[in-house]
Amino acid sequence: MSYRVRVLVRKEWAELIRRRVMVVLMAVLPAGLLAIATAGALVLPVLMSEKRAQEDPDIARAFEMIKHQAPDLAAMGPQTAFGILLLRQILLLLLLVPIIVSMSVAAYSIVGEKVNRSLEPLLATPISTRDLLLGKALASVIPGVGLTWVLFGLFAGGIAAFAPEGVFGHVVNLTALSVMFLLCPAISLLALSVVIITSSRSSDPRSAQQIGAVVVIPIVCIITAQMSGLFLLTPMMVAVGTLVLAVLDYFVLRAGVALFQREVILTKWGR
Amino acid sequence: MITTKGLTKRFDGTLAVDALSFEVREGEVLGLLGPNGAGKTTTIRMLAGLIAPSRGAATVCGHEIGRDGAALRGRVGLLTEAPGLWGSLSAKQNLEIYARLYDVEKVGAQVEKYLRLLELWDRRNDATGTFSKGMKQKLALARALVHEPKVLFLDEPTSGLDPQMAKLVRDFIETLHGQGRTILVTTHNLDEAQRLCDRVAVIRTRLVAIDDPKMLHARLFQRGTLVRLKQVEARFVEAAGALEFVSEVRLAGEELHVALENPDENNAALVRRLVEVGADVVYVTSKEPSLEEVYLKLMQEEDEA
Repeated sequence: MSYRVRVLVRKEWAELIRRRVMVVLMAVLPAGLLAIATAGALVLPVLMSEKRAQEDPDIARAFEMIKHQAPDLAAMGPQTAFGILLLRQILLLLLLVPIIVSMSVAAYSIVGEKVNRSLEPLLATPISTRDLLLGKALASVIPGVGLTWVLFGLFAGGIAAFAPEGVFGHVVNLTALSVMFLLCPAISLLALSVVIITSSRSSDPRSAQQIGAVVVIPIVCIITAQMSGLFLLTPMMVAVGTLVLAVLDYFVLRAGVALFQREVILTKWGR
Repeated sequence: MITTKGLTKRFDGTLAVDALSFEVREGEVLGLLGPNGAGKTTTIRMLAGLIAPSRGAATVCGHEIGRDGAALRGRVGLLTEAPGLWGSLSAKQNLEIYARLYDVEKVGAQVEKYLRLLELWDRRNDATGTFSKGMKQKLALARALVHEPKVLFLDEPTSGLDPQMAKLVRDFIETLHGQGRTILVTTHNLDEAQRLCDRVAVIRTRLVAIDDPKMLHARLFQRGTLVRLKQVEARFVEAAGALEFVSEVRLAGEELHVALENPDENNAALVRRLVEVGADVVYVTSKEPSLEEVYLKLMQEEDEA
């Protein structure tokens, strides 16, 4: 990473720290929701009575479906299997964190400069367009991915500490790790690229964020599909998904870079 | 220090700057004058390495524009039309970031130097979003200077400032001129241009005229003499107008505005003739050339053309 990229990243973070309300909302809101959801996923199966779990035909049917979709859970009782399934959904919900954080930071970082007319003096320095964009991208992606990984660590720690024995290995498994370390950065980059593109047409950060929110749709689709028993994510699916996202990232980012030209920024963004 | 040859810029078919050719000598202050949309900011952006010309060439500090953009941008300073500061960061942080982006060696010392010079040191830790317009403009000027550029581009440096702050900025520009920096400044304030600039270039997409304001005035208007009389009568105007070296006599209150050839030699004959016809002369003075008159005349000629 070049010296100027580091300077720009530090500047972006210095500005981010000054926007205290945004930082607190970004960190506390997902953490709180994660804590509540995890606690619920751990407590709900315990509240389910053993007798009801065995006699209720709906639960029995759902358990059969789980056993079919996830044979590794077949040997477990319905209570534990449901708990694990809920915890796996929460893991996917975590993917919304890098999208929201990256988009918020990038929208303020790019459209905010446009609104404040601070891009022209910045472009007048010897920084290259590539370094400028890289600095903005890293300053947006790193907090999003970093926060997600911290939350994942807390989530894993919470399961290790409070979940019944054997649950940890079924939740924090290869699929979960590949979701966190492959899918998470890829989807974060996609959110950022979408914001860069929408920035060239948006005149305020909120509209850029709103347009960029379309990236959330695939995540919601995966969660819905898992909940309805259509499929359960496997490491192979995550690897293929990451590959598809990487290709998508490449093309969307290229389109973003093509739009992010000094002349276009100076002569058209201000209008 | 700055040379342009046929510099042209088109935006989506619209001609913004047309075949601009001029030179700015080392240590000179050149004022770029023209109406809104004349291409002043576009010219500055091309010369500062921000946008590429559609045609033509220019060199600034030995760097050809459009070729080595980063090196060129590192050698010049640009004061943009809007201060464009990062409002949530302090004055010191704003300057430090720019100093680093410009590869300044002693960042802390340079930042302190300009914050003190522009009387912002006491407010160095305050967020610039809380600054007045004048303070923001001073900080933007410090930002343009933090890497000690030899060439400075100032886009309307005193626009929107109160008279006191405008004077402070103007005085600072004069100090920079005294340091031997080459400055290209755009302004709508003709009085300011006359005071600050060694030469002015009037542009309206293309170059209309470039010269010392006094020379431009001499080129467009005959030199003049102002004669203040105790009492004005029609015969005084007729007597002055009848002199062979006088081309025009205009009456304004108790004053005669006389356009004449070679006033240094002919003023004595003019006064003699006025006294002969009974005029009581209160005082005689040379009519100071006004850049506003020059500018308006040039614009009028352009409209007629």
